[in-house]
Amino acid sequence: MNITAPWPAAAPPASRCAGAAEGIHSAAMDIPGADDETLMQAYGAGNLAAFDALYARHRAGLYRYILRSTRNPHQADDIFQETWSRVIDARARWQPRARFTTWLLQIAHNLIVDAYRRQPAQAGPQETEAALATLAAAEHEQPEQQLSDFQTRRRLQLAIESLPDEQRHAILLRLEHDLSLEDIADITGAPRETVKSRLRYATQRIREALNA
Amino acid sequence: MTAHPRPPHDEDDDLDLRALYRTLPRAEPGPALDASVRDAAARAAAADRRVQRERRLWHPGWGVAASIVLTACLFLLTDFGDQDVAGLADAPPVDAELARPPQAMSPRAAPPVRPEAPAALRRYAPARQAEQAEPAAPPAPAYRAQPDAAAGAALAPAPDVQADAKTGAAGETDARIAHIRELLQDGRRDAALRALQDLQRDAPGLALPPDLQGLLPPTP
Repeated sequence: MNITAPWPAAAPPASRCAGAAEGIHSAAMDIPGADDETLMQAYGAGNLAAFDALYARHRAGLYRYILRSTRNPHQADDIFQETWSRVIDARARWQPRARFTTWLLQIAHNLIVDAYRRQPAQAGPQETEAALATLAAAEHEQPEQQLSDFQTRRRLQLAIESLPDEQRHAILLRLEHDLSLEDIADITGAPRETVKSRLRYATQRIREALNA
Repeated sequence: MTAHPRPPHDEDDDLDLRALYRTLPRAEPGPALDASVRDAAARAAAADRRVQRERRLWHPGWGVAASIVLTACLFLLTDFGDQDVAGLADAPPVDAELARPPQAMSPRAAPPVRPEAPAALRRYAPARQAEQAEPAAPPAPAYRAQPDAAAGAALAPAPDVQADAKTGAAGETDARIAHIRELLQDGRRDAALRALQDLQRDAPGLALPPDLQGLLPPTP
């Protein structure tokens, strides 16, 4: 599903302007060019358009990270909504001490871990098949190539889903958001070397699955 | 999504995996989920605007202005606005003599005099005088409730004037009785009777001496 109607295309900010507090109260602020932190402060000041831009930037990546971590669409919806609810609740007291992306993913990661503790996620074959059924093949690909690519993507997805939780979280943050070791360590609350080790094991297992 | 610098670690050999990962289905939240999140954000923003509007209405400046107006109203409605009271600070010093409490009532001060027969005539009717005697006046208070120097000064000579008046009236009555007796001694009984009747008319309550009571004709 691809909805972009109410949300403008996510546009990365030109640069992080730490002192860009001016203009956040104005509805005529440069929303497309503002960074995440400025947008969050503007929303805390009552600018709903700033939230719309912020949501448009992060909704898809956040949702995929949650969905592939939980492997449960219903649970992913709940966690996604709860993550944004906490962002909304913290709008007034939020301070740009860390990057908004790190903070947002940290909220989602903690909610995912809490969900694991309450009810360990079990990826059912129906859900996995439903997720794989959404794979779209390019029309220009030949049937043999389509089959090969489909199998490769399916192996990748199955390999990711078969990883232990900590390794799966780390590799998803790396593959989905291109985060650094430090960012992943901040989000997951694990030491940097631990994250590095998890990424190494996860990468090795995925390669083994793809080459099988 | 915000772009971040490439992670500077030695596992940069996952470029092929990242490229392959991007070929996975681009799952996104559904429209209902988007609408739910945006509604929550809009409600929160609206609540913030309401609170900010209320804060603007109850700005501290309004409270200060209301306090000033209230104080001014109280000042105008109370004695602080009265020029007489407001000028107390500039008033001359209080006269100590006038401010002193009054002294105890002088022993010469007599009770108020009731209109009655002169004292010289009352001696002829001791029984009736006893009936008309005033009850004993209570002792004068040591201090009057409100000092009144003018009234106090006027009270002192009053008993003397009344006593003089009583003395003068008694002397006149005695002189008229003596005149009546002289007329009787001269044998002028009619003139004595007219003088006695004039005396009774002038002093209706007068008790006549026994020697003159027989002069009057018997009453029916």
